[in-house]
Amino acid sequence: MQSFIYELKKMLIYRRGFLIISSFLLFSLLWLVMTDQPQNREMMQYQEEYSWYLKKVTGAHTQEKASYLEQEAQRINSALNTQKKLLDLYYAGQISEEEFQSQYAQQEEIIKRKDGFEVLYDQYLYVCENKENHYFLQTNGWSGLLSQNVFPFPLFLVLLLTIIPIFCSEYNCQMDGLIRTMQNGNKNVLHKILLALFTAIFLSMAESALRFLFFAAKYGLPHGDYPIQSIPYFGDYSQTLSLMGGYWTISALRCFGSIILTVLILLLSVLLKKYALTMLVTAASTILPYIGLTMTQIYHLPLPLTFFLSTNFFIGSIYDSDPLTGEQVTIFKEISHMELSVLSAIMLLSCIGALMLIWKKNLNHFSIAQKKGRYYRRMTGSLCLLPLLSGCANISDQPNDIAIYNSTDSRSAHTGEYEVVFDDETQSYLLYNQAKDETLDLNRSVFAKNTNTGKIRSIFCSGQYVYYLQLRTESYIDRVGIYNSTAEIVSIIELNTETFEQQIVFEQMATPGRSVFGVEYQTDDKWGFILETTGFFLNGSSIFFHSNSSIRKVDRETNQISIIDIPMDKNIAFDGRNIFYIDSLSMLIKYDTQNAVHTSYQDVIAYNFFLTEQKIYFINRTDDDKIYVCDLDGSNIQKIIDVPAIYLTFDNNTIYFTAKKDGQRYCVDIETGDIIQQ
Amino acid sequence: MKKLVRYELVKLCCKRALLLAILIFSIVNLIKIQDVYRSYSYLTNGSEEQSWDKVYWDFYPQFSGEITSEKIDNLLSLYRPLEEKTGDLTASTATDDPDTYTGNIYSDRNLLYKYYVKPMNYFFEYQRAALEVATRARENSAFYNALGNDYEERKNAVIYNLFSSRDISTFEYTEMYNYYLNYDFSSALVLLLCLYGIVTVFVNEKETQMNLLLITNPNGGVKTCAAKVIAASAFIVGISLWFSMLDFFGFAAAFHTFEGGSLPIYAISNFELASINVSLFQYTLVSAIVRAIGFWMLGMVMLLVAMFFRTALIPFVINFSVALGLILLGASSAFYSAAWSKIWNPYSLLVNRILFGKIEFINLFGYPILSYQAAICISVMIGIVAVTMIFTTYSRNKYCRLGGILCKVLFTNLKRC
Repeated sequence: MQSFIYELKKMLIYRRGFLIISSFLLFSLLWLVMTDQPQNREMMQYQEEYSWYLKKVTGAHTQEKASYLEQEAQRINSALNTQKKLLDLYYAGQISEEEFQSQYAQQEEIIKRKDGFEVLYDQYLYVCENKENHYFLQTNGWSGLLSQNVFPFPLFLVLLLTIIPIFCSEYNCQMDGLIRTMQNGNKNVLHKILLALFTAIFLSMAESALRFLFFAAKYGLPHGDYPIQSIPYFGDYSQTLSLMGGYWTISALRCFGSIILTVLILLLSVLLKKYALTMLVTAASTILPYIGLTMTQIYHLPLPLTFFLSTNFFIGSIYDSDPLTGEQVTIFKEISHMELSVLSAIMLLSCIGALMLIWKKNLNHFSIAQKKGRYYRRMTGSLCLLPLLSGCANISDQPNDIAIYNSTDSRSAHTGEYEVVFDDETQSYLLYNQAKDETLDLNRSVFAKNTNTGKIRSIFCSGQYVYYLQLRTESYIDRVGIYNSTAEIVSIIELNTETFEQQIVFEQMATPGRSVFGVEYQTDDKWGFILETTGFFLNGSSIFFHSNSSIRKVDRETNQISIIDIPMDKNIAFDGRNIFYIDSLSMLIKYDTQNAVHTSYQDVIAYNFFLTEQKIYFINRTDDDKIYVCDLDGSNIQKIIDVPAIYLTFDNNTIYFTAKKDGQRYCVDIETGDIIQQ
Repeated sequence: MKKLVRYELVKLCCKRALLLAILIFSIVNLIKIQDVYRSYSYLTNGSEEQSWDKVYWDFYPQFSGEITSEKIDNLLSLYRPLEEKTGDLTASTATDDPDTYTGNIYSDRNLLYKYYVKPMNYFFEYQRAALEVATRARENSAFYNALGNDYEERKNAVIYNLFSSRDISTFEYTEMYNYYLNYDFSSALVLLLCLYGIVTVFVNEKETQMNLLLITNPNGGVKTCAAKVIAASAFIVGISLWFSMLDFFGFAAAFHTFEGGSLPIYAISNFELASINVSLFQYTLVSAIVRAIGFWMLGMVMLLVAMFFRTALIPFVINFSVALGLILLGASSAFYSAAWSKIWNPYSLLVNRILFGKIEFINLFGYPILSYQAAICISVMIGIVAVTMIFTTYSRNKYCRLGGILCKVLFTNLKRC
């Protein structure tokens, strides 16, 4: 025992093992805290509403739950329609305010948890894919905990640092010869091996426990007895396994992987006796299969790596179709229990054989105990025949003059001398200079027309700068199997219309596939929303992307994404700090993006509006949808066009609107008041 | 000095373990290349009469060589009927149809489309596309000249020069080069070998305490240090070039051909915006040299780190972690347009299609520098800084520098002892 304590002391104190292990655990925790993002952002955002509905349907799919969800979906839809009708009736003066308020409040009660219901309904669609083992539950915790399948490089490095010196340090200073001649030499070897194994088990279990505690604290890990297939990542797994069972199995397999790697390191240390060579062979036997083998190959070979990446034992088979021939190609073939058991047995026997070889190599040949070792020696010899362990944004200067952005008019804008217009014929954006009567392409890249350097999706103007959002596709190898063969990249480019200098202010890969030295892996799909973006606007600190369903704010320094809870069924506007939108009651609201405060314009009840630098033009629902104007603070409301309209924009002192009566487009000069049909 | 370098080279390279590792890694590399061929090429289904491989190479003499309208017409006369017959998906799916080349009409169409129609169309269209780029670059250059924006003017002039004379006039088989240019596995092998070789350069002497004796030697100090740096550089460059050569011949052997080497680099569609005008074969040489520069820079930094430690363990882990970090950073920034994030990272030189596949510029005091030029310069500079630091931190043979007097005294005392 004393010898074990000495070895422990040598490892933890003299070789700074304690410092290394505690730094590793601290680093793992910090990494989780800093990098973890919820897999389902909406589920996190509408947690309260989602949980309210989830309580009613938690667990397996039943006909009653399905009926309830379908009915609730209908109820919410009908409430939304009723609200719309009530608003129309109220603003047309056909019902009184009391009547409106009481009926509207009834409908409001039904739809107050609409966002949470939408998240649950998406989950319901997933559950319907396989009613037997897809259950309703909060998935963020379990998804984060279980669906990570990247080789644990930090753990690998810590194992190298702590395990290699156990034997190599003795060989390095030639203490091994002395230890072998000691009376307790054999015990010392045993203690060294035990210490190495305990370290591997501790590190692996501590990391697993750390992850468990982190995800339990951040998201909660409820219903551990539900099937693992309830998490979409494991949706195609064909065997029966619970979430908690999955966690224990994955953790145990990872721990087994650590043990195998440790035994491999010990064996190599004993055989090679040199630090550098031991590290080279260990690194090569672990990293090269990771880079060089396909997923299916890795999971059919007895390697330490296989057990480190144990998550994929439970993901089921993955198929894809060949883009040229259309044939189905197996990307990954599910590993059966039998195959897993055989692999584990081979590895276990190999470990025992390797440990015996280590023992034999360090045996005190002068000890009496040697005589007892004949049997073991023979066994070692036979086990040695077993397979060996190694299966062989730049942020630009903040623009001082933020221009006004209107989602209704996102295809044209004024900037400096130029007007940005969208050419329907060529489907491209142009810069038009009225003074010089010249037209230039907005995309100044010489490759814009010829190659797939990208397509401009939307623009935003601020002072002399035009920002355009461009989507481009980059491809590498055109054969299925490398799922990172194409990547969708979204860039926001700033064009200075005075100097025509361009610079990229934001760039992200929207698709989650990545590749390093031929290793394909997936990251969180956190930027996928940009592909559905219908427009964007920005200020010095943030970029806002809006789609038909939400606005997401991206911090330009940290790239943190947050969802701004604003209804997107009507138009929105932005003045550099505040987002203007119309709420469900058709009231104009100003949302301060810095303080997250919503301010209502009580008297502006709009069907559609347009923000300019001095005024807000809007279609007034309280006066038969006629066009009004008010100051930026909502005061001084005046009717300016006595024609009911459904849509309006404003440009160069001219209001453009679509009349309600005939659907035709008209324009009105503010100064003269003349209405001209276009 | 030559002797010293030779001794250091022998010490570094003639280790049994290293030679064995090089041999094993070379075999692993060749197996991996064969696997790439088997996994990704469609021309692997045997050599029977109706196999894609056989049919493709039977057609090859008919369509290879200079692209002429006659060849294009001939190709289209073969392809169009197949396209029409298979367009509505009602054609026979039999796989033993004697009236087809590959046994199946869809298979015939796919083969012709993938290996002849698509690449021929790309080659044929490329000249027009390149000319349009050149025209637009010239217009842009004049436009920025009028605005007084010198940098953009120069940048567009460089693009004009690169694109004004581009065309692909001959048709050749390019699949081998396509996969060769996208192959990275051997870089990982070289990196591991360099890690192993480099960390032992200074550490070996510290482990045996020879470093103390070296200080007292007239050839110790700077001379020994210089010999070690030269030997390490030769080792890194040698290993890198060996694997580059192995990759090239491995791919040629796996794909059974050297065809395509005379085509310009932009004949590979991933390199349509290549920042260099060379043939594919010339590019393999350029790529090998650039990769060697990247490894040399990385190796010198590793050597610098390793010289501060007494055992190989910590420098190996530090160097391994740093290399891993650089690789992950490099891979994550590879797709992005920010050239600054690529040029300082040796990963861009190791996987140099990142630099050569696209035209990206660095603004150096108003002068546009192509990203690969900047990356090579920065790598060489970092390497030189690392070497300088190695020399400044390496223990000097102070006694010998004092006219050998103290050295002699020391030796006399040692003898007495």
